Amino acid sequence: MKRLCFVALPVLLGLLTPQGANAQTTATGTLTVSAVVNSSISLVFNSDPSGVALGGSGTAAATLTFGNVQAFGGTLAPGVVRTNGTDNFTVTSGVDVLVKKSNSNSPKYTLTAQLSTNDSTNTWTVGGVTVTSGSPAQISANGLYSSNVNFPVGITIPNSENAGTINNVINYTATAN
Amino acid sequence: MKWSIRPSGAAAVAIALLLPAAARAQKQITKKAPPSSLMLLTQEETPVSLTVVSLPDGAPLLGSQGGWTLDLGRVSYAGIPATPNVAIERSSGSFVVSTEFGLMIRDPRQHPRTVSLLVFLEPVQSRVAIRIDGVTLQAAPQLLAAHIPTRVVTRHRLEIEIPASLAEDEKLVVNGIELSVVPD
Repeated sequence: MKRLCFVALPVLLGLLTPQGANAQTTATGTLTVSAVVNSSISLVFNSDPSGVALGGSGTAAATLTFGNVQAFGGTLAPGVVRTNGTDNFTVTSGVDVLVKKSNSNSPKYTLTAQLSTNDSTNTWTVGGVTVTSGSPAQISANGLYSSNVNFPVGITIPNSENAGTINNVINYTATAN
Repeated sequence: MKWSIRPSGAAAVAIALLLPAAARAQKQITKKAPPSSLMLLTQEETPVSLTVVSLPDGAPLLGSQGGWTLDLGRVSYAGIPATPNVAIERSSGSFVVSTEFGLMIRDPRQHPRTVSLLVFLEPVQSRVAIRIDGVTLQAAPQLLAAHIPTRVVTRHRLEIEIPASLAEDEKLVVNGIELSVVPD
């Protein structure tokens, strides 16, 4: 009888073990995530192969440095093209504009540009269109998304202008059509 | 849930019916063994519980036990997220919206233990990819992490990769991230 006691204990344990004791207890929860996806477009400037290498190429805040320019003679920076007029000269450089869209059905974009600061002496152009500080000038009404489009930037400088530095900022705006 | 061998009660009666000899043996033990010895036979299987908690640098969390909602608000490829603590990373053709959240595994047991965290998606989202801690969620449960300590908040990163081709102004609701913990 005494021996049976030691045998019986494990048997008892086995019978009293809950049915699912070997299957591990779990806890669960459900996580829901919600968001609203808005359409958007982005604009960056890229160096055009034919133009001046931009500072900050690939970003939305690039710098175009023409370097030293003069009406006649001298050496122009790579990518700068000079044309002489009757009483002025123009320097231009290719600048690529890349507009991308996301979550949008828009087929094309409209591009405008505006000078940040008024310049009553020199004439500024983007893609051949004169831009001023007065109001945005439409550069393109049918811009292609996801494609580098060269809109050359030009400055027409009167020959009568004194030598000095010319600075300005051109603000570009792309709007989905 | 608690199971213990008691000197008397329904369990003992049932065993007596099944194993008369064993029942007699148990009776013998009851007479001889001190109470402390009986306690050694106690087997506990206490459940753990899972709670999703918001983090100070995570997106707002709504909900209560068993069901929670992370609202990421309005998001777009080029824009800045309107909801605090929601980040956006852009890549070609898609963008990833991410935030952080916490998990707390509550365990009523006296001694700390670790758990494994499983996660799956129901229903599966075909339009977006959803990742937690870098693991892309699928219909089949996947091990997210093992040996997670209980009673502490663990930090996790949720990412949703949204393709640029997804329609605009679409309300995206991922309503089936199922989390499950299993004691190690």
